[in-house]
Amino acid sequence: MGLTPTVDERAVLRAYAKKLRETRPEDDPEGFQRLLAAREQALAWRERVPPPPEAFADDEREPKEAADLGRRPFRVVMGAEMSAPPKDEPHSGGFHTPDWRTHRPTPVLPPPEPRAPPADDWSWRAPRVDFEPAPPGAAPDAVAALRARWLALNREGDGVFWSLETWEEILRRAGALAILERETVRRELVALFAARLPPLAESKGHPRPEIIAVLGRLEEEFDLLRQPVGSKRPSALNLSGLADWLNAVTATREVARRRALGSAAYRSESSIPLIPQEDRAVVLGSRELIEDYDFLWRHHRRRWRPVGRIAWRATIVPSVVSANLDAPRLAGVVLALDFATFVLAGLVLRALDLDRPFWDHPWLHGAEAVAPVAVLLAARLAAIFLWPRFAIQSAVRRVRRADLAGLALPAARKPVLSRRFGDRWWVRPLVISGGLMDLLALGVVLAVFGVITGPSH
Amino acid sequence: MKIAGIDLGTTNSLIAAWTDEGPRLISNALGDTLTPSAVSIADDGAVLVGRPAVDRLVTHPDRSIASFKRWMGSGAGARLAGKFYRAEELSALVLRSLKEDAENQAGGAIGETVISVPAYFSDPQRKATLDAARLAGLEVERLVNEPTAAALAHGLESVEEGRFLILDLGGGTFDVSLLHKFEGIMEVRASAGDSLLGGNDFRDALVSLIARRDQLDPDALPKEDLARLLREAERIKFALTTQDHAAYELALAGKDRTGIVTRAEFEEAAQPLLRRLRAPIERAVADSRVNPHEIDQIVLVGGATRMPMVRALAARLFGRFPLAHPRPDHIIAMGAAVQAGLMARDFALKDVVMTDVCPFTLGIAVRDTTAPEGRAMSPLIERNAVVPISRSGRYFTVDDNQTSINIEVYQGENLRPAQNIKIGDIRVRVPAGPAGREAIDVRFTYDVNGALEVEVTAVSTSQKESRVFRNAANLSAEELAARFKALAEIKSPPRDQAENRALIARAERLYAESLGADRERIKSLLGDFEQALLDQQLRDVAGLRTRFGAALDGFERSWS
Repeated sequence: MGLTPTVDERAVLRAYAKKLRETRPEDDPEGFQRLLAAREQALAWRERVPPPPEAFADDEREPKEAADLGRRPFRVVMGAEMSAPPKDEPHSGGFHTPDWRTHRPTPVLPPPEPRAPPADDWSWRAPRVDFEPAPPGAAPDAVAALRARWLALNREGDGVFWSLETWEEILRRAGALAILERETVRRELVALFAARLPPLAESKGHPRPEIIAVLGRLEEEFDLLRQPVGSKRPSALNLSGLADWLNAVTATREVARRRALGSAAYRSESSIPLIPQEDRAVVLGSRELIEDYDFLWRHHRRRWRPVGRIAWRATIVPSVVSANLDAPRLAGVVLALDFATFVLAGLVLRALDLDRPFWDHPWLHGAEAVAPVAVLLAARLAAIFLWPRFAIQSAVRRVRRADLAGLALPAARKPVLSRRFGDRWWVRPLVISGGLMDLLALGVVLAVFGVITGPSH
Repeated sequence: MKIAGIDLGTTNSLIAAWTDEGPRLISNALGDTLTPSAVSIADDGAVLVGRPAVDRLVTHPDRSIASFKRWMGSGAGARLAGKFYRAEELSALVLRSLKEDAENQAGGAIGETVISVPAYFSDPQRKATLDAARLAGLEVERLVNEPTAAALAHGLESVEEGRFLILDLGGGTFDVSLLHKFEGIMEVRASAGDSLLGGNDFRDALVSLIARRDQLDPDALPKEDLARLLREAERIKFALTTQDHAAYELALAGKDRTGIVTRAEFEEAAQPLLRRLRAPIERAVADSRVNPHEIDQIVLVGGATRMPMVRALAARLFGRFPLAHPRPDHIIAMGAAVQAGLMARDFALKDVVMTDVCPFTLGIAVRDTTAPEGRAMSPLIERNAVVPISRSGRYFTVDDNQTSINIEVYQGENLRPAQNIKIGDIRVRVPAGPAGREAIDVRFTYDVNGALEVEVTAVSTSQKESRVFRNAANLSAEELAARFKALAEIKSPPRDQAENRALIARAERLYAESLGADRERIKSLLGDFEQALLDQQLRDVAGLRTRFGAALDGFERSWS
C-alpha cells in the first residue's frame, strides 16, 4: 500500500482509496481481496497500540452493587468477564502476517484528532420535533434503577424470579434506553442469567415453560449471541450455559408452533409428507433415506417418477444378507442374484439337452412350479414400490408423536425419532421369513436341478 | 438507450432513469411515480398493474394480489382467476409495466437496468428477482442492496466523509446498513435486517387492534370484508402520522363498526414490532465494530419510516435526531439509477467506488463429534465479509473406505446446520482409503451480485466439481423459457386505456364500500362512463374522465 508504519487511520484509508481505484472489485476480485487484507493488516497494527483511555470506558465499569449481588455466585463471573485483559486477537485474513513483536514501533499516539463535524448540507431534512428522545443526562440513572430492580429480583426464590410479567416490565423499560446503556444492561443480564439458570440436563426434555418464556423474551430484546456494540473486540461474554438454553427456547417454540398448526405442519402444500428440517438429520439417519426424501421433494409433481429411481435399491423382503433395512442397496444385489440363479438353472437345463426351456419340463408341470416364484417376485416388487413412502410416512409419524408429547430438547426426542421403521417388532420376522423364502426358492431350484441331473448319470 | 434503476418494493415499485442531470423518476400511465406492487387479472384476461389492481383487491379479491415480494424464491405464489402464478411471474408483470412506462417516456428501449433488493435477501431470493427481470424482458446487469442504493442517492449530493447508518423500513422488509464514506469510496461495513418486517405488519397490528375491540376474527371474515378492513387500517396508519387520533367507520360482517384509535394505542399495539426493529440495528452496529458515537448520520428510508414511533425509536437509541427525506419512498429507486449510471461508468460518477458485504454466513455441514447431533456448520465466508470474496477450506474423509463426500451448502448463523437455510449440495468421488487420508478443497466464491459459486476439488485426483447455486425453488432454464412465452401472451391494456381502467376499478371499489343512495349514484355514473367509452366518444373522453374522477373524489372526501 506504499505506507510507512503508521497509527493514523486516515492515512491508511487514503492509501487504500488510492489503490482501490486501480483494482476495482468487479474487475479484479483477487487483487481487491489482497488489497483489503493489506488494509486490515495496517489497521490491526494500529489497534495493537493501546487505545486512548476514554474509548472503552464502558468495558471497565464495575457495577457499584457488586457487594450485594445476593447468594448467587454471579459477581465472580461478571468481574472476570469485565476486567479480563484483552486477548491477543488472532489476525484476520489468513494471509502473510508480519511478526508484530519485532516490528512494532514505539507506540507514539498522535494527539486525538478532533472529528470533523458532519458537513451540514442536510437543512431540508430538518427533523420535526414532535417526540421526546431520552435526554442524554438521565440515562445512567435509568440503568442504575433497572439494575437495582433485577438485583432485588435475584434475591428472590425461583418462583418469583422466573415471572414473565416482572421481566416484561424491566425489559420494556430497557427498550427506552440508548444503545450503549442497553449494551450495559445486556451484558449484566447475560451474566446474571448464566449464573441463575439451572443445568439444562435436569429438565429431561421438558424445560420449565416459565424459564423458556423469560429467556425467549430476553433473547428477543437483546439478540444474545451477537457481538457487543461499541467494542472493537469479539464478545467475551460467557455464554456456555446460556447457549444450550437458547437452543431449547427455539426448539420449544417450534414444537408449540407445530402443535398449533396440527397435521398441516407435517404436510406440504402438494401433500408430500413433510419432515421438518431440524429433525431431518436424526429421523432420516441413513443416507439412502435422505436421498429418497430429497428426490421425492424435488420431483413432487410427478408422483411416480421418484419411485422408479428408488426402486432398484430398496426392498422390504431382502435375503439374510440385507436384513438391515437402512442399507437397502444390498437388496438390489440380492434381487439380481436371484434372477441370475433362475437364468443359470435354465441354461443348465438347456445344456442338458432336454430340448425345451426348464419351465416346460414335465417334472415342473408349468404353472404350479412357477407360481410360488412369481408370488415371491410380485411381493418383492410391491414392497419395492411401497417402501420409500412407507418409511417416510413412518418417520413423519414419529416426529409428530414427539411433538405431541411436548419433547423439545433434542436429547429427549432422539430415542423417539431414531426408532427406525426396521426396529418394529413385526419387521424382523418378516425380514427373516423373506430370507427363508429366498432360501426355499433356491432350494427348490437346486432340488429340481438335482432331480434332473440325478437320473441322467 | 436509457439506463434505469428499479425499486421493486413490497407495496410500491418505482423506476428512475439516469440522465445527464442525475437520477429522474418516471411516472406511470396514471401520472404517479409510485406504482403499487399489485396485480389483477381483468375479466377479459388483461393484466392490470398498480392502483387499479389495488382497487380491485376489494372488488375482485380472487383475481387480485399484492404483497407477493415476500414469497420470492420460495416457490410460493397465488391463484388468480383459476391460474397459478409464482411470485416471480407476478413481479415480472410489475416490472414489465414499469418498463413500458419508461419506454413510453424515453421513446426507445431501456438498456441496462439495476434492480434493488433488500440486503437480507438470500441467494434463492436474489435469483428469483433476476428470473422475474428476465421474464419481464429486462436486461439486468446487477442487483443492488437497497440501503446501498439509499446511500448512493444521499451520498452523491452531500458529505465527503463519514459513517452513516441507513434504516430502511419498507412495506415488507427492514434493512439496516452501516456505511463508511471516505475519499470517494462508499464502503458497506455491515448490514442486517428482517425480511419479514415492514409497514404491512404495522397495518396488521392495527387490524388486530380493531378486530379485538369489535370481537371479530380477521381470518373468519369474508374476503371482501377483510380487504375493506385492511384498507381502513392503512388509512388510519397514515392519519396517525400527523394526527393524535383517527376515526374509523366501516361495515363488517353485516354491522357498522365505528371507533377512534389514538396514537398511543397504536404504539402500544406495535410494541412487539418495535422490538424487532431494534435487534437488527444493534446487530449491524455491533458487527461493524463501530462505536455508536462515531456514527455521523442516521438516515431513514422507506415509506414506513414516516411513522413517528419509528423516528422516535431511532432518536432514542442514538440520542439524536435521524435525517428524514420528505419523500423517503423515492430514495431507493434514485439510488438504483445512480448505481446503473455507476456501472455504465458515466463520467459524472467516475470517482465513486462501491464495496459491499455479504450479509450472512455461508458454510458447509461437517461431522463434528463435539457438536450436538454430531453435525456442525463450518463457515467459509463469514457474515459481513467484503465482496467479491473467495475463500477455501480443506476437508477430510471421516470413514474408512469412504468413496464419496457430499457437501451440503448452508447459509445462516446457527451452529446446527439444520437450523440454517440449505442452499444445495454437491457430491464428489474420492478414492477409497483409511479415514482422514483423502481430502477435498472446497472453494466458495461470492460475487458482487450475491451469487454463490462452489468449487470442490478432490486433492489426490484433482477431479473438480463446480456449481453455481440455484435453489430447487427457483425456475430452471426451460421453465423460465416456457413461462416467458406464457407471460408474453398475457396482454396489458393499451396505454391510453390505462386511466379509464383505473377509474372503473376505483368506481367499483367505491361501490362495494358504500351503501344505499351513494351506491345508486356511483352505479349510474359508472354506467354513463362505460357507455360513453363504448360509443367511442373519443373526442370528449379526456373531459369525461376528468368529470368522472372529480365525482369519485367527491365521494371519497365525503367519507373521510
